[in-house]
Amino acid sequence: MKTKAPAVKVDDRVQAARLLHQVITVGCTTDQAFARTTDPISPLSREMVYGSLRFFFSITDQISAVLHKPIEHKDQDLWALLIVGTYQLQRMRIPPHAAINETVGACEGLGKPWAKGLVNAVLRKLALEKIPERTFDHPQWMLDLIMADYPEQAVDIFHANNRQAPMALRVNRARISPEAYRNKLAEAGIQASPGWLPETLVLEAPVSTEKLVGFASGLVSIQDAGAQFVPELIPLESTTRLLDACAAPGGKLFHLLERYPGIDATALDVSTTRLKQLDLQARRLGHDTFTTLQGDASNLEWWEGDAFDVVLIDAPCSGSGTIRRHPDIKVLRGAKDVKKYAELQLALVENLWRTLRPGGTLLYCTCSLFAEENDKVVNSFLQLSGGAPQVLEISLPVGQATQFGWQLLPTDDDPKKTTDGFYFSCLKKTV
Amino acid sequence: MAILEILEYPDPRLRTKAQPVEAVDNLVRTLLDDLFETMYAAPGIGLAASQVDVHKRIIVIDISENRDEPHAFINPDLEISGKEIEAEEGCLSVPGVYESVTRADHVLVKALDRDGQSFEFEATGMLAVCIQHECDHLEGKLFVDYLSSLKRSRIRRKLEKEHRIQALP
Ligand SMILES: C[S@@+](CC[C@H](N)C(=O)[O-])C[C@H]1O[C@@H](n2cnc3c(N)ncnc32)[C@H](O)[C@@H]1O
Ligand SMILES: [Zn+2]
Repeated sequence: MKTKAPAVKVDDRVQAARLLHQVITVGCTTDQAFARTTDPISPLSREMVYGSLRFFFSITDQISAVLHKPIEHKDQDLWALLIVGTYQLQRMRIPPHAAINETVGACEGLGKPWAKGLVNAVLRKLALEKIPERTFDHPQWMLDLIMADYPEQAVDIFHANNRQAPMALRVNRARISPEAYRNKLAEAGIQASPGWLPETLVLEAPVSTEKLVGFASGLVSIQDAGAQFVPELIPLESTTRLLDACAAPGGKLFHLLERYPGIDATALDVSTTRLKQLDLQARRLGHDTFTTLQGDASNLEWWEGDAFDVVLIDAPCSGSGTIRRHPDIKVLRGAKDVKKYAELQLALVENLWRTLRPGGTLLYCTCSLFAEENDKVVNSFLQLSGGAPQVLEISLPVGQATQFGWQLLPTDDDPKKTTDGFYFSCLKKTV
Repeated sequence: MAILEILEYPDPRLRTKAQPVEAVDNLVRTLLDDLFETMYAAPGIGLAASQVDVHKRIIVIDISENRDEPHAFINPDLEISGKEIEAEEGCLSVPGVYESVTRADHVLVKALDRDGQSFEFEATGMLAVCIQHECDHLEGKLFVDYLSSLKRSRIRRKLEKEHRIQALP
């Protein structure tokens, strides 16, 4: 079947402004905003949305400084257009007159031709300004938290967060060897280098999934190189009873199944929508030997009472380690969210600890940089539970040790080795 | 992997009833890969094996914006329910034609996956429409069959003319 291509192509700036408006005023994530759009999204408008969010704070400061009065509430789409226009003007290789003319023209597409003069005036003023040099482009609360947690590395982290992340793949070793898959990529003209693990490949340049050889048939998945360390940290045996308590959409679970076929795995998640995604991916990859449960991991209603040998908690978190891929996090999240996540995370660890057999291991991980969601959660748990949990020492070829675990940072500039920010802590239930 | 040639209406081969797949072997898996590649390259959101002149009961679908939610159904068996919905459909075998068709809003599919395992799948909305459209192909049926005969013959003449033009040296 085929659906009709839109009769007239939506102007890239109009599309970018509308998408950005969805994020900054309506408060959806970029993923949600993109998913809600029925028109195909052009690579140019995609890049304008991501770039505008990456440099949101300095761009909006600059615009505010030259505006005589703030943009009215009902015209927030124009505010978004100004941001997109400024991003193009300053950070894309688009000649200034073209960037200005096209953005001014986009006022028509937004149905606000009266704003042309305003947009023109603002962009002309900004065209003469230099890009502010030392701007970290993070909200103040995030700057504070990161500086407190990483006094030495904070500046590197801020810069790293504003770079683009490479596209990393995980070869499905249950289906094909990494070498054979790399050859297939090469045949298709896609260059990839090996990553930290044998199954990790990092693409020279991102490609869309439809061009990714063997994606539909489950030869490969898209997964950050850091997220791929989980099987290294919990070696499993073929008889292991594993609970993946926050499993959807299944990236880490499927990796474990590819590495350790035959394990007895249970996938739990609260979200039915996300479990559907997990199901779809499972079918794509050919994994059908695990059990799926819908339930809340902060209670035990879903549990049948048989203890697990290993519990994996890939906890819901602020995602602050993935800002390179999701710059909207900087704009959408607040300090309060971190606190809420930390409370939920502690509740999850406390509750799931009870499902672990004596002698079993719990792997807690987040894709956050903040100690509040990482070591501090583990610390609170240790305080609450007395001597029973033993912190296992772990180490990986990248990243750094923390008091109770290991932290990956997005700071490596070697594109082949760089990972998102991740935290891992391994706790053993002593007998 | 290979991009296959898609038959175009009114090619009589599109009217062939497809046969069930007896064993999901490597040949079937290769065909699945080729169907996906052909569908993505077209670009389309669904493709039935019948459309590439392979008369086996196999369909592939991906209606996602990001093109990263591939569905493959082998020997699909449909149970249709729910209210009726009207959606504009097009077909890779009927290029350039888009018409409204009424179908059920909900389907339950029983099928085999690429490993030959059986599974059940529920869909609503556009995905349900697309599954019904592709399963029709396996019966030799096309979405233009739902239109008035007047419309259908106009489409037929239009495409025949295009084919004659394409055939010119
Ligand atoms: C970081 S994601 C997991 C990613 C997944 N492990 C992977 O590798 O693809 C966190 C997941 O936790 C789920 N979640 C949030 N709160 C939960 C709860 N109380 N119980 C169980 N799952 C929960 C979310 O629906 C989300 O799918
Ligand atoms: Zn069709």
